Amino acid sequence: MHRVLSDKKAIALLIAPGLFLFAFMICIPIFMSAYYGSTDWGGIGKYNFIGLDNYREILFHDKVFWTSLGNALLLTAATVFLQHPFAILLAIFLTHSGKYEKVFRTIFFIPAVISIVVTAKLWSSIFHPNYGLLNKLLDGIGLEALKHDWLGDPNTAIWCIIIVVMWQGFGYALLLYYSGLQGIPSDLSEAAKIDGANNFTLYTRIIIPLLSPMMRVAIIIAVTTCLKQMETVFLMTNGGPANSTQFLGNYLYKTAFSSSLYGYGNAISILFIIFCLVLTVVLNKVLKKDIGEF
Amino acid sequence: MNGKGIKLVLASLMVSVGLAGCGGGNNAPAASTPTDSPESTAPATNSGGNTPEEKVTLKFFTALADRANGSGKVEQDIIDAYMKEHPNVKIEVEALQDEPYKSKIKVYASSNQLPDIIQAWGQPSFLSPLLDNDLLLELNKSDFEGDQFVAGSMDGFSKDDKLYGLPRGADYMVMYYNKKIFADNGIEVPKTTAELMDVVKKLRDKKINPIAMNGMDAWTLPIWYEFAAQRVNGDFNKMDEAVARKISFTDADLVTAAKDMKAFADAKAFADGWLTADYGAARNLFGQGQAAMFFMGAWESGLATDENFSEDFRNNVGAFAFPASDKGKTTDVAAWYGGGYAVSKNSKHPEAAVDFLKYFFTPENWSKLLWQAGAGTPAQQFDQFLTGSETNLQKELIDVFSTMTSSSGTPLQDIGDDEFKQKVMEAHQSLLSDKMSAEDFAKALDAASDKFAGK
Repeated sequence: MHRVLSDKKAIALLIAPGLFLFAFMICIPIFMSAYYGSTDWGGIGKYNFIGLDNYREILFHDKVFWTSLGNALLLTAATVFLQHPFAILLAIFLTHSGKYEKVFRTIFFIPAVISIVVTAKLWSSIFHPNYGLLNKLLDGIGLEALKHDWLGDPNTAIWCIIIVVMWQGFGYALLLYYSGLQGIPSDLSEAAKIDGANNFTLYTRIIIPLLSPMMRVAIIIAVTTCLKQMETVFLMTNGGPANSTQFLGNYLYKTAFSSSLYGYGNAISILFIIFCLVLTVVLNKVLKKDIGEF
Repeated sequence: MNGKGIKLVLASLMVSVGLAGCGGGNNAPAASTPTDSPESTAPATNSGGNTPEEKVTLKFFTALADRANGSGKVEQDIIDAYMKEHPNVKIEVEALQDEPYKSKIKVYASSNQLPDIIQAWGQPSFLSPLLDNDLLLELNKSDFEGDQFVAGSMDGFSKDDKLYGLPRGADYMVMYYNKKIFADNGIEVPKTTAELMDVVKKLRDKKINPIAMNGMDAWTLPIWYEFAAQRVNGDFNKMDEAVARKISFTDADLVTAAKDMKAFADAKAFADGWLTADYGAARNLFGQGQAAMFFMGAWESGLATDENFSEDFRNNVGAFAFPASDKGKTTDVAAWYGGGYAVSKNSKHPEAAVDFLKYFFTPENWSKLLWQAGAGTPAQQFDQFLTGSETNLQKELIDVFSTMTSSSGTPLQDIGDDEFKQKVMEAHQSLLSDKMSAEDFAKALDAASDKFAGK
């Protein structure tokens, strides 16, 4: 067996199907996208090659592109700095909740199981200015002054979207941290307790640092999902009001299919890919810190 | 047989294989070659009945997504009846809402897989790309002569005097209103735009949503602007001139119109949450009695029979024409012949498709059934199908229609291409959500028109 695996031809043969699929499903479409991105194709019919005009237009004149990118980064930041600490806390809580552990685990994971279409529509109803639960609640507790058209106001709409996306993705983050906690051997905490560590130092000095490999995975997953965000926005506001909640995925769909600027949409997607690659490389560099075996 | 003979046989074999290959593909209109097989011409001589007819499957793509109510049901009923009368023909229906429909039709068109019969809009934004790329079959006007299409209704579907589609309905914008809400609050139907503003204020004081709008889709907003502009200067054409770059959108009248329209938004004339409401949401808000009015096209005459809404609502829904000003009258209406059908040029069974359309537009079918179902106003004459048992809503709509003295033609956003359309609609959203001044709005429309004109 070992001899087979060290034979270069055998290796090549074994990875060929995967490589082939990867090339055809991912690399070639990206190259085609890059090509179409340098044309003025409208989706149907003839097109002209216009070089880097689309890219130049996007980078230097397209405000919506930058708003979309800004929104994606805002969402990413909110996820990493709000959702994840909270998920870690709840994961710790879960490991200590004894016989209710399973019940809570299930409850916390429910939002991640429900279809995005359902949750998006559910939340748009909650935020609805007339019959929405949120405004009714404010009414009920005498805070009428705070009633608001949550999704209709550009200043609050983006936060509504962020809350919904975080709420939906919370289950996965929790699950990752929870399983990370399960993987930390209990003799470590026992040893620490014998040495006189209280619960607080136990977690801040030992357990949470030991979670960092899991954090790296969770953060990279979170960042990529946030950047790709499309469904919730599409269903709740479609980027509106006036592009204030636009995200790259939705913007590129809208440009390519609603405005029939197919070439331009492709150019956006290429810039989008470049941006994601750069960010992933940076993240990998920043988060690469070995914590040793345990 | 000598060598030459074999080569000849081989060559002829290859040619025929090549031809068969072409015939099987999407590119060759099957009937255009005279050497075509007898089967595929059979549907043309329909109702012959003696020869066993070829099995034909037609793909039918429509934007009437609700197949159980209103015009979608009428359409489906006719399709079912046709299939019953023509057992050899199978019609596969695919239905999507307007906006997703328009996206998907582009995917079909670019991959050369246009369904045999498609819904089409007789407006440049939809039709031009398809015609420029020669994707639609030219129809024969004489085939439809007996169907009493209203004069002018085919214009949008024609190019260079050739007909490429057939209009399904006459579209005109009205204001639907809930008579009960009006009566309960002592409100009269507004005759002028100033009165409409008063109504809005009164309703807001009583904490009632005035007008349900689908601000997320946004295509009703430019139609409101058409009305606003006409009410300022008494002329629907000024806007078309601005798009054609004869005048600028910074023209005093057009800016005043934008300000008038914005005044309504500032007075909260549109229902709460209108910027995130799509068509269905706006319609429901009105249907559930949560908004007093609904700015929508006459195709919504089915509101009076929609079982999803309470009987109370169904009995109390009415319609009035957009209020007048000193320049524009209520009989000046934003109206156009919009939705209809076209046949794909690459259809494998063009005769069958055309035959179906002939059947569909027989006055006894579409125009009669549509009218009697109370689901819209056909683009064909339908006087003979008036039954006297129309709903009140239908009567009020037909009043608006029959007293019309001038009409807007294609609405602003549909005059240009898709990019123009998006830019126009976004400008309206920005203006009405107070992110843009009327002057900047005019500049945005100018920029969009410039870009369109430059193409």
